[in-house]
Amino acid sequence: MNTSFLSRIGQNWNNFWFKPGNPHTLSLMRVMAGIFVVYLHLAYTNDLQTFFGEHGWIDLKLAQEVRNGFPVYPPQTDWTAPTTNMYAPVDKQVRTTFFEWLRTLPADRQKRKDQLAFFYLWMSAEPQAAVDGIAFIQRLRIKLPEDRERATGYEGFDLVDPAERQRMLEAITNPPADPIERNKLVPQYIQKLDKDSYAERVRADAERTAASLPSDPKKIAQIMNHLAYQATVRAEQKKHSDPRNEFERTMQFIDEDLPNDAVERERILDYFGRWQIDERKLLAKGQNSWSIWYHVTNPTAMYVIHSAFLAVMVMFTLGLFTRVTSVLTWMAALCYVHRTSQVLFGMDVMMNICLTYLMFAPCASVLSLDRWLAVRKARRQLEEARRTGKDTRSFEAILSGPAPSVSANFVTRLFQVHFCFIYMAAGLSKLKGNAWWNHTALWGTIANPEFSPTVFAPYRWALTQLCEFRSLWELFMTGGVVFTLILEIGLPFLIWRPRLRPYLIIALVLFHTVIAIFMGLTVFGLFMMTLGMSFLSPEVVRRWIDSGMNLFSRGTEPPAAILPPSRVPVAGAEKLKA
Amino acid sequence: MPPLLGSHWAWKAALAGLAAIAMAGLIGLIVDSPTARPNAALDAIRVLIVFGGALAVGVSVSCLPRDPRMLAIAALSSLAGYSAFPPAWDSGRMVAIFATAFATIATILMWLPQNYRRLGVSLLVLLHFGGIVTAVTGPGAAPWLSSQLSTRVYRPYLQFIYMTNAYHFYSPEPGPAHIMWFCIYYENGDTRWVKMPSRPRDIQDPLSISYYRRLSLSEQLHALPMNRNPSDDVMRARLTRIQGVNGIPLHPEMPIIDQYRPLPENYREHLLPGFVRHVASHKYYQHDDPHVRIKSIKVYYVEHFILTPDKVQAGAGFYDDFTYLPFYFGEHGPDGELMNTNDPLLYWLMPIVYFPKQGVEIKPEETWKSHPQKFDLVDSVVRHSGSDHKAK
Repeated sequence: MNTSFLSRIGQNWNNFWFKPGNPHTLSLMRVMAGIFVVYLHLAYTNDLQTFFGEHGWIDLKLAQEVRNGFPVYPPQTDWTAPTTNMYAPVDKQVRTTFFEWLRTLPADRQKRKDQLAFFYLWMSAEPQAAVDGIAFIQRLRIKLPEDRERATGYEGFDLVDPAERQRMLEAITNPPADPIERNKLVPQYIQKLDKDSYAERVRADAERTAASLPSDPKKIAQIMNHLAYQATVRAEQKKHSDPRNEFERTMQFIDEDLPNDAVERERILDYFGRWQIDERKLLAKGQNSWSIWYHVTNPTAMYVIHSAFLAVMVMFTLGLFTRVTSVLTWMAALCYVHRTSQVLFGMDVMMNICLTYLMFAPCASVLSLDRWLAVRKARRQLEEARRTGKDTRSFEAILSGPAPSVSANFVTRLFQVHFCFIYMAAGLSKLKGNAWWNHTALWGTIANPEFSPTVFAPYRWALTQLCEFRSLWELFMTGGVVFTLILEIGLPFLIWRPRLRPYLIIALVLFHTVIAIFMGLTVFGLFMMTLGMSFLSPEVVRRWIDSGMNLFSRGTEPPAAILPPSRVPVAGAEKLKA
Repeated sequence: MPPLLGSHWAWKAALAGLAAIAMAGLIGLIVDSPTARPNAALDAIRVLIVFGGALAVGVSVSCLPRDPRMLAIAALSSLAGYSAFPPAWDSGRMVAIFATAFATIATILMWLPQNYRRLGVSLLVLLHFGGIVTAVTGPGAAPWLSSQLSTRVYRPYLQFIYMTNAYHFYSPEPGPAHIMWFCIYYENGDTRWVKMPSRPRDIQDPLSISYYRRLSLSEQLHALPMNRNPSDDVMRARLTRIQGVNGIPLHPEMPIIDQYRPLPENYREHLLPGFVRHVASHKYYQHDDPHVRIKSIKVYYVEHFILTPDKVQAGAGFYDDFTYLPFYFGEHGPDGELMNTNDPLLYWLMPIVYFPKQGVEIKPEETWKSHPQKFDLVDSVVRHSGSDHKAK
C-alpha cells in the first residue's frame, strides 16, 4: 500500500463527508418529516392516558419495573457455559414462599449451614435418595389426613404433632427392628450410615432443618416440593466442582451466595423473586430509557405538556427557531418512544432517524419561517446600511440564498448511509425465511386480515379473483417478492451510481406506496420516502421548490426566502454585479 | 437562519442558565440526603428551574454553536443538571449525563483545528455506524463480536437514542397478527368482552395509527419459548378436558404441539399482568352499577391466521370464525396475578372449528361452506368462558 493510495482514500473520504453541500433537500425533508411527526403525535392525544398514563396498557408500575430492573446478561468471553443461576420456582406463589423462607434463614453463614445441615448431607446423593431425604424432613412437619391417599397440590396437609415427630426422629437413632416399619420411617440412605458415629448428629440436623421451615403446612409443601423437584434435575457439569443437580446448586446458593447483610439479602432476594436471576451475575440492570412521562402522571399536567410538545413540533415543521425546536422535537418524540416502546412500529423508528440527524442539519435554510424572518430582517438592515453607508455584504449574502455548507452535506451523507443499512438489513434478513424463497411471502403481507385492507369488500373481491387463477397468483407473488428482494439488497450498491439513481428512487417510491396501501403502514411508507429523499440532488429539489413557489405565487414575485440567488430582488443588485 | 439572540445576550443567557441550574444543583446537594423526606413542591421548583436553565443554555448554544467556550458552558450546565434534578427524576439525571458527554465531545471538537476536528468527527461516524451494525446483526444468533460490542459498549448509547432496531422487517417471513380477548367477570355474575384491538372501534384517525399502535401492543405477547413440548402431566390434564358436554376439543387440523403455547417468564409475570391491570382499572370496563366490582378476567390470546389462497378460492372469508385461534392465557385477578397456575387448560388452544353433525354423512367434496346444515360450529371459547364473545 503506497502513500498515494492512502491519501486518495483520505481525499475521497473527505469529499464524501465534508464537501460543502446545499441544504435544500434537508429542508424539504424537515417539512415532510415535521408534518408526519405532528400527525403521529396528534394521534396520541386521545390515547395519552391509555398509552402513557399511570394506568395505561403498560402501566407505570410495569414501565418502571422494566426500566430499572430488566436484566442484561453478560455475553460469554470464553467457552464456559452461560451464566448459571439457582432455579427459582416457576410458580409465582411458590416462589414467594420459597424466598420468604430464604429471608428467615440465619444471617451468619455458619449458623445457616448448621440449620440446613440435613439438606447438605443429601445434596450430593443420587436423585432418588435426595428426594427421600427431603421427603423425610417434610414428614417431620406435615402429613396428609388419614382419609387422603395422595396429595393433589399444596393444599390439605396437616401439621405433624411434636410427639409423632419425636417418634420419627427416634427411629434414626433407634431404628425399628421390623424392616417394613424401618423403611417407612427412615430413609435408606440414613440406614446405610454408621449408626454409632452419625445417627445422633443426623437426628439433630434433621430436627434443626425441619424447624427452619415455616409454620403454614401449605408453605412447607411448596418449599419441599420445589426442593424435591430440584433434586431430580441434573445440572450440566463443566468442572468437577460444579453442582451435579439443581438441588445442590440451590444449597450452594444458600451457603455461599446468600448475603449475611440483611439489607443486601433483601435486595438480592427481591430482585431474584422478580426476575429469577441473581443480580450479581448480571452485566447491568435496567434500560437507558428516559421520558417525562415516567415522572408526570397527573392527567391535566400530561395534557398541558403534550400540547406544548405539539406546539414545538409545529414550530419545527414551519421552521421557526429551528435550531432549538429541532432538538426539542427530538426530545419530545423520544419521551413517547421511551415511555411505551411497546406501541411502536417501524414508522417510529424511521421518525427517530429523521429527527436525530435533522438536529445537526441546517434544515431551515429554505421553506422556513426562520428564512423568511432572516430575509425580512436582512432587507431592512440592508436599506439601513445603504442609508448610513455601512458595509452591506453580510446582508446581501443572506439575501442571495442559503450558502452550501459542510453540515448540510455531512447530514445528507448520514441519512444516505443509514438508509442503505436499513435496506440491506431488511433485504438480507428476508433471505432467512422460506416464504421469501418460495415466493409466498407477499401473500402473507397483503392478505393479513388485521393489517391489510381486507376489511374493504372491493379489496377482498380482488384477492379472491387473484386466487381463482393459480398461474396469475404465482406470477403476481413472484413478481412482488423478486422486486422486493432486488430493490432492498440492490439499492445500497446501485444508488451511488448517478445514472441509476433516478430509477431506484422511482422504484423506492413505488415500493413504499404499495406498502402504505396494501399493508396498512401508511406513515411508515411516508417516512421511508422522506429518508429516501436524501438521495435527491439539492439542485433538483431547489428547482422543484422554485416551480412550486411560482405556482403558489400565481405570477407574482415569489418570496425571497425561496428564490435562487440569481432571482433575489436585492435593491441595488445590478450595481453589485457591476 | 438568524440567531435568536445576539452574541452579547447569548452569553448572558448562557451564564444565567448555568447559574440557575447550578443553584438547583446546590439545593439538590443540600436536600437530597438518603434520609431526607421527599418534598414534591421543592422538587417541582427544581425541575422547572432546570428546564428553564437548560432552555436558556440551549438557545445560547444555538446562537454560537461553534464557540467552544459556549459548548463548555453547556457541558458544565449538564453536569450541574445531574444533581439539580431530584432523585425521583432519575431519567432526567440520565439525560444530564448524556448531555454532559455530548457537550464535552463537542467542546473538544470545536477547540481542535479543522483537520483534527474532521478526524474526530470521522471517528465518531465510524463509531456510530459500528453501533448500527451491532443492532442490525443483533437478533437471533448474533455473531460473538456483535453481541459483545452491543452489550458491553453500545447498549447505553443506542438505547438512549433509540436506535436499537435491526430493521428485519417481515423477516424471516410475514406472520399472522395477534389480538387479545378479555372476558371480564363481575362480582354479580355478569360478564363483558373486551377485544383489543378491534376495527373500526379503535380507528380514531384517518391513517388508523391508533389501531396499529394497539395491534403492536397486542403483538408484544407473541413469544414462542424455545421448548414448548407439553410435559406428560400437562398433556394428560389437557386430554381429560376433551370429554363431557362442555369438553374442549383439540383442533383437528393442527399438530398437538402447536396447540400449546406457554408464555415465557418475563411475559407471564410482567407484561400480561400489566395488561390485565389496565383492563381492570379502566373506567370503560367497569360495571354499570358502581358497586359491582370486577372479580376476575380471563385472557385469550388470539392468532388471526392468514387464509391460504386455496381456502380463499374455496369460499372462506378472512374474518370467518375458524380463522381465529384463541389460546387461553389464564384467569387473573384485578391485580393481574394469575389465579390458578395449575389450570389444565392454561396456554392451550380453545379451537373454534366446524365439526360434522353427529350421524350425518359427509361426502368428500362437501365443506362447511357448501353444506352448512351438515356442520356444527364448536366455539370452545364460549364453552370455556361460559359467555358469548360475539354478543354485542
